Amino acid sequence: MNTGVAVKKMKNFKRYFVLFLAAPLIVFFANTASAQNNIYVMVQTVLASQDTEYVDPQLRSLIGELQTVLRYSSYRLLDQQKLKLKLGETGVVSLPDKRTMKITPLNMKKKRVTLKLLILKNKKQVFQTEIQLLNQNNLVVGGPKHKNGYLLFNIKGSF
Amino acid sequence: MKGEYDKCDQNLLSRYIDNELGSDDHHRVSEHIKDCPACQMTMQENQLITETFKNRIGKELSGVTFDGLHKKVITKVREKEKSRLSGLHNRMATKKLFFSLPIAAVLILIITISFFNTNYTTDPSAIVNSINTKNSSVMILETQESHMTVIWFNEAS
Repeated sequence: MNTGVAVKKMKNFKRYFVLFLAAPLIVFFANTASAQNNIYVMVQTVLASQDTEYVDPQLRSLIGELQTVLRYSSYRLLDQQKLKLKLGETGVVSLPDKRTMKITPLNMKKKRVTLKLLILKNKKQVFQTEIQLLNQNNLVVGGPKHKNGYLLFNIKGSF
Repeated sequence: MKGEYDKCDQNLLSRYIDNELGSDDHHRVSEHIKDCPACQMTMQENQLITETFKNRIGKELSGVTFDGLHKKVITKVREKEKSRLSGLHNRMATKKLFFSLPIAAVLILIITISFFNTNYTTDPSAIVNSINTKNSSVMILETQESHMTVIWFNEAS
């Protein structure tokens, strides 16, 4: 009787153990498979100014890197939007002062995705670029004036 | 001595010497020995043998050191226990290996995959194919450490 219970327990344990081993692989391959279909784009809108000395906690690593090329003392996160796009699909992000940003993934090659970025103000195009963004990396587009500073758009892409 | 005890009985005598007889038989055999020179002789021989044996044993035992013997026994017991434990330990180690090896393999696999998935590169984060602005000036910068691309444009008012 006891031996039977032990054998049953052992079998159950083996099942769970195999599941435990297989789970990370399943998750990994599922992620890889789903990632092949979708491009995730995150756009952070940041106000950079000389007002005070302040760095938004969510921006610390980004600003730490940006400080080597930009000389502002205050960086405030105004908004953060995430898009899940397929190739050829256009996502729209609302920006301050009646601006919008249109993002379209055009193609993917190895570790890069080609993105078409359009910035419009009052429905008029003010900026357009086509970039090849490295997976899990970001691009910063900046320059539009807002209040007493300038807007930065931190665009991160992953697939 | 009368009756059955008139005769010399070696078996009874032997039991008498070993003090294995009941009180009645013991008494009767004692009475018989008093009058029987043959049994007296046998008794003396037996006593002599017993004494000699006792002396010999005493001598041998006096030469034995029980501390050493005790140590030997304890050492033997410990050796046996040790070998039993090491066997158990080996079995445990085998079981541990059985469980820890696949876990280690999976961890190594995950770490390797995540390592190769991460982009350790000196290439810029973004390669700019084209830029189109109206009445604006554009700067393209790259940060030193992570080679992050920064596009800065002056928006036309």
